[in-house]
Amino acid sequence: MSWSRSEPIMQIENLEKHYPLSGGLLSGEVGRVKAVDGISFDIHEGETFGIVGESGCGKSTAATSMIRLEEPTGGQVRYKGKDITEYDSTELKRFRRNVQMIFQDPDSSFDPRMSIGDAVAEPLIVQGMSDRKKREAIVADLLERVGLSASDMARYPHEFSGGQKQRIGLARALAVNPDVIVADEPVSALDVSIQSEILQLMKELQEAFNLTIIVISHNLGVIREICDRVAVMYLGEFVEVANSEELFNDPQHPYTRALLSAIPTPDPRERGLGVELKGDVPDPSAPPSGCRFHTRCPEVIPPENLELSQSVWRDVLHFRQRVRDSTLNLDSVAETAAVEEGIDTDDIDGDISVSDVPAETVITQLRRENNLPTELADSTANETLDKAFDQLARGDLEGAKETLEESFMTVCERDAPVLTEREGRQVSCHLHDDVTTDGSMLEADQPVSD
Amino acid sequence: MSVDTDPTTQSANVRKDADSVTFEDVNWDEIDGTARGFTRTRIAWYAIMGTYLLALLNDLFNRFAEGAYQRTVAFITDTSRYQVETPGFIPGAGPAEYPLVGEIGGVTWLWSLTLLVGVFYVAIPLYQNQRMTAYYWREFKKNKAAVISLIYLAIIFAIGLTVPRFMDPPEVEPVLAYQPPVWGSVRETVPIQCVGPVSGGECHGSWAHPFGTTHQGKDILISIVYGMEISMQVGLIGMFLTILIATTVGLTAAYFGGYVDEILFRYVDIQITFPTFFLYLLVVYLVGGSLFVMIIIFGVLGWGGIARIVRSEALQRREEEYIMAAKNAGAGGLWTMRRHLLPNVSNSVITAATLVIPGLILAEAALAFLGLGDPRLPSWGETIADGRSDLDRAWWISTIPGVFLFMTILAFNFLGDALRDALDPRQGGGE
Repeated sequence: MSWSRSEPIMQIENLEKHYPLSGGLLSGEVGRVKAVDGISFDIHEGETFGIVGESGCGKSTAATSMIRLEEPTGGQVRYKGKDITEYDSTELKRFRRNVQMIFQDPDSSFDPRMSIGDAVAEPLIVQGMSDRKKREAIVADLLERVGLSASDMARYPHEFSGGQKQRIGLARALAVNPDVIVADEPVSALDVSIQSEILQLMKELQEAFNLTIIVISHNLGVIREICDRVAVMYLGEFVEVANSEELFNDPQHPYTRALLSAIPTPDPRERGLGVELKGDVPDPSAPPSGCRFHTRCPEVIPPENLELSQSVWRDVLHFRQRVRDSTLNLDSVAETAAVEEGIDTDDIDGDISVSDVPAETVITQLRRENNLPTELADSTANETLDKAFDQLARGDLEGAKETLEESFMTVCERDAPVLTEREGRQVSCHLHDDVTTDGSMLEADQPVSD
Repeated sequence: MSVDTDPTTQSANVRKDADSVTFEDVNWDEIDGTARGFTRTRIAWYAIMGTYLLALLNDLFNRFAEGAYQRTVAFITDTSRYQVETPGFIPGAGPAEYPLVGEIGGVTWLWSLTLLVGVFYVAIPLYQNQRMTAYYWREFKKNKAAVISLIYLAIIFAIGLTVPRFMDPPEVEPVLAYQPPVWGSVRETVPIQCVGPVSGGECHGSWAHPFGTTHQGKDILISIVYGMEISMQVGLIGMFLTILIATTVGLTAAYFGGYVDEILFRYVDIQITFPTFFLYLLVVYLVGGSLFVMIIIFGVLGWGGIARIVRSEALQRREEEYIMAAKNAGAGGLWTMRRHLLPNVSNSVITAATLVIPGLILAEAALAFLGLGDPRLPSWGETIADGRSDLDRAWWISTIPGVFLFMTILAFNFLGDALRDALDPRQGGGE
């Protein structure tokens, strides 16, 4: 084998998994959900690598497609130097002995019609071990090693608790003596008290058998407890990859910072100081342009000529987003404005429209609704906003859209940042494009200026 | 976790000393090198199936292809006979003769296949996994009606399978027509000649014909015994064909999805709209009623609905993580379908199967009653039809086979109910 221990045991390069969206009359492809959109990382033997991210960011798909439980649509995965995406079915079957997976839901990852002994022995049978006595001895030994007893073999999955089932899941994964274990949310379905037991068991088994583990989780606590290195995933891409300790002590990407600040702390004085992420993860079939996180980022870089505090800038961006998506209903704004100002609307036929209400009233209401003060710190921004408000008050949504797009275009939206290596860690953010070599960082909630 | 520390660990240690293989010791290259071993049962199954197929092909060849073969040989060797006189279907020399059993007809071929599959895929696994069998039996016997049904059906099956082998079929004897059953009596004028004692103008039944005779003088007991085998044949062969095709199609469609699913189930849509009853009528009109044709038509064309049930159930199961886990173990489509999808849809399949059997038996009886069956076959439906015009004088001719038909169908329904409950490990706390 051409692989040596100093090289990574697995190398993932630009792994992609796109799902076609079919629709229309002839069920043609109308789009693609980019669940995993080009992720790359290396794992060394004995290492524990974590992938963390919100629900729907593609981390489970990354797990299944990196070991070809689902066929990746692009990229390469090299196991001990060999590209597994080119394996034929026989080679793939042998590869399953090297890499095993632990599943998220202990209730559905065991066939309710198959006894635990058969379930743990399944990989052995499938891989060709026809000696029944030998299989039984192995299964008995495995069950004891994960903390159950050999006599549990004849019992069925419904007779075990979630934690016990996850132990059996570990036993099943170990049965073929793999080198790498991919654990997809191994403890997220378990009680907190059981979680640490399972994590402890994973650690022990890792030490005993020199396992390489890839852990997928949305739970930063879990990741922190067992991972050596962590990748933070957002919308199918890695935004930051770093050593676990560095990542938790000194997060570089705004998204990582937001995730970390979302960890509940027992200290009552520290509550509510976190960075709050607004909105949901965007639709992966139409990811935002530029940096995918810019729609929710608390640290979007303003255009060079603007001097705004980050919170105001964020509000401006939200306002612009509403105008762009046409989620702003001018008529209902006008109606609210009319009610607030006590304008008599009885003589208006039908529904109130923008033209029925004085422009200043509408503008005041728009500012109020979007949390925008009448006077901004920056004069250019002020002018643009005034112009946009005027256009909106006249009912010219398209015009306002253009005005806002022109002057509030940010680099985050225009260009996609690349995951760049710096001091042993990788970050994908425009904030770090022009960082000086001394490593000084721009902090959040300070006026950002260039 | 309290369950983790278990007193049985001691016994497990003893076992480990005897055969201390652990997963780290396995040399997989060695396992790749060794050929897959077969169990003795498997070898026996392949041998028997091989013999069966050879014998069947020989029979088919004898029946249909021998003439054609000779013509082909003549055609190749002698070019002057270029003009083959009758094109198309050429009947062969006739059925093959086998030692011990002689000629084997279509229904017998299917019946023996069904029984072989029953032995190898039901009886032997039940015997080999005695602990599992005992568990299912404990669950099953909670349902008393089902136990009685099982005993009843076992008796019907055993008698139907054995007695016709050494007993002649019922014969027409007009002199002995209208004999009452042994416990009954009838006016002296009804039978031409009373076999039993006659007293007070009443002809009483006798043990010579315990269930009486028909208007042709056929013995009803013998008819019923023959009818047992026919009913079992119709029900079990039809069920076997239906379930075999339905589960294969349903599981394949659900597992592979996409075009496979699309093609298979658009075909099912077409097949379900196809009127099998009229097809059978057409065949009866062309070649006459036949049990073989009836079983084939209902078995091969009647599986659409069950295939749909299997598919929809399997589609749900397919999304479960254990299917992914099987793939993760390296399992292919066949393994996953047999070991995971099939057991998990077995509830639906067994329910459907137990409904198919009585349905087919009833259909056979109904067709026979309407005179659309093979009139030479002493099936229960035929016997019921025989007595239909004599209900006022000789009630027993239609009633006795009717009772057997009723009980059999009821028994299958009870059995299905109990099997469904017993086979589900999620019910009750099984140890």
